[in-house]
Amino acid sequence: MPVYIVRFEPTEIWGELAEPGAVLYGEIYQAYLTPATEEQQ
Amino acid sequence: VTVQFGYPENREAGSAARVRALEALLIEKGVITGATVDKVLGYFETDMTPLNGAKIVARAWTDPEFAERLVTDTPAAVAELDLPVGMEGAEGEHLMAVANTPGVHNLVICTLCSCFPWPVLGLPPYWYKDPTFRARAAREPRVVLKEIGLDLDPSVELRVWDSSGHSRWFVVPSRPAGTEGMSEEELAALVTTESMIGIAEVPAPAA
Repeated sequence: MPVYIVRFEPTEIWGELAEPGAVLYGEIYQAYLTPATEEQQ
Repeated sequence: VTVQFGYPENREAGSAARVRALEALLIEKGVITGATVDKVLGYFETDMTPLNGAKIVARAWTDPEFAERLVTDTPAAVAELDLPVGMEGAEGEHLMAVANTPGVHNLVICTLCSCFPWPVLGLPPYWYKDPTFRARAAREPRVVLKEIGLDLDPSVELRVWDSSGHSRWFVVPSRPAGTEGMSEEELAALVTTESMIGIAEVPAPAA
């Protein structure tokens, strides 16, 4: 199964507790992802 | 956080006992011999060490084209060097190098367990597996780095790589000042494990 490297903005994960000036890259298996267009619908 | 992720007091003794029992059972069932375990440990303690990572970094510092190949196709670039057999083996199947630049600092963690590029950096240090470190380094990496002695300028973007999926990241640290005339071998001797994980910079050589 493909694995994607996904860039997260910390504010999207931890809100106001996020630390400024850092970004988090995580590896996510395809099964956990949905196409962005699908999610918008 | 410390309470939430703290170790039970008997954690070490409990884990050691479990490992001993498992090893004894595998030997009893004839799956492995005592020598098997020693051989594997010896391999990762003598052949697969941070010395490999240091050689890779030193080559990147002295050969800009290699440095470029290293971040675009890490396994192929690593294979160019004269390193022990098995760099693409256990825990090195998907090596990914990320390079520090004046505006970007990289930090490698594994929030779920202890994923680590064994062939490049050896076995993970104890603190790397610490649940508190793993949790905090994801949520407040800058604070954690400052606590352990790396005070990043606010203008530097900090990229945290959580190697929990299948890639095994390592950091190509910045080449320190004052190393202009040094050979590749001399440079390799400066590179630390900590700098290749991203919790430290490579210190400038003593004058």
